[in-house]
Amino acid sequence: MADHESDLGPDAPPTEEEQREARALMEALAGTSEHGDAAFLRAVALAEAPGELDAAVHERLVAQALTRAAPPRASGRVIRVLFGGTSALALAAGLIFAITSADRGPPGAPLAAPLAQSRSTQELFHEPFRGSEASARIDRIALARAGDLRENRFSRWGVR
Amino acid sequence: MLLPRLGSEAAAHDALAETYEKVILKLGTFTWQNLGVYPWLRVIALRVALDHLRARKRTVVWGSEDVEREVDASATTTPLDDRVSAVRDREAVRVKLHAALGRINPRYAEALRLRVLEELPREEVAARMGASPATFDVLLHRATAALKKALEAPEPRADATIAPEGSGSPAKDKTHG
Repeated sequence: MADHESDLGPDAPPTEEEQREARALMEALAGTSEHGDAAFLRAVALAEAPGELDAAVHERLVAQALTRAAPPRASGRVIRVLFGGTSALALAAGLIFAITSADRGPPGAPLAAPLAQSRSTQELFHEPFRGSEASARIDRIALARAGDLRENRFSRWGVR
Repeated sequence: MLLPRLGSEAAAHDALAETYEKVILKLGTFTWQNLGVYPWLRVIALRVALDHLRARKRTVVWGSEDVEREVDASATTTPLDDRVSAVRDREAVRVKLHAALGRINPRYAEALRLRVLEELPREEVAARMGASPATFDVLLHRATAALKKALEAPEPRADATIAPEGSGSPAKDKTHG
């Protein structure tokens, strides 16, 4: 589109090129073709109402990130990942803490005490959570797993 | 937060996976500050979003310069800012969009509101606006260009005088889009 087109008033007669572009945009919005402006208008719609991320998609993205960030090592420890619960973000936070706590530190470092093991977050919750309490749920998991991480580091450094 | 900033589900999914990857790798640098994990995750996600936006032509409401501003601001936030950042993040893109809609010709804004934000059928919007579907297509095409231009233009300062919407003649429309 030429720059001057956006400057035209709404009632100015359209040029042939404008009519072509307008038709192409209409078809793209109907899903029958692609058009750069249709992508922009979809972004506008998402800015207005982004919607929720599907839990299954979120779970897949977390798994993908875990695979990329922590590939299995031959001599490394096998981390068991426990999937469950209703909050995908809580799942992500729980897994992140569990894996890094078991996978950091120099290889062969002496262990002064047993390390905290990866495990379900179930023990942290004794009451059902409502959907609006996702942040509180994540915070509780983060706090508990940060404690595990700290303890594991002290163990690896032999200061405990 | 990523979806309204990146403007596409596919891009937002990629960015989210990349954010989590960085979170895992950077976890050792995280310090618990009694504010939850959101402020920390937020800055990582913003930096990922910035990389994505810089790598492509603008097709979104929230540009790379907006994310740069958010990243810069995150360096000097107060605990109170951090506590309300989730709410601000949800609203920021929407607020910018509506401000831009307020700066374009009211007929363009109406076409975009009905067809894009309310997702009404083309024929229904055309009828409501007193136009044939083909004429409405041209209107929407022009409205899209006008909105892009308004989003790319620097926002007017709060103390600046703004001409009332829809007060323009065709000649005035040339300056307002």
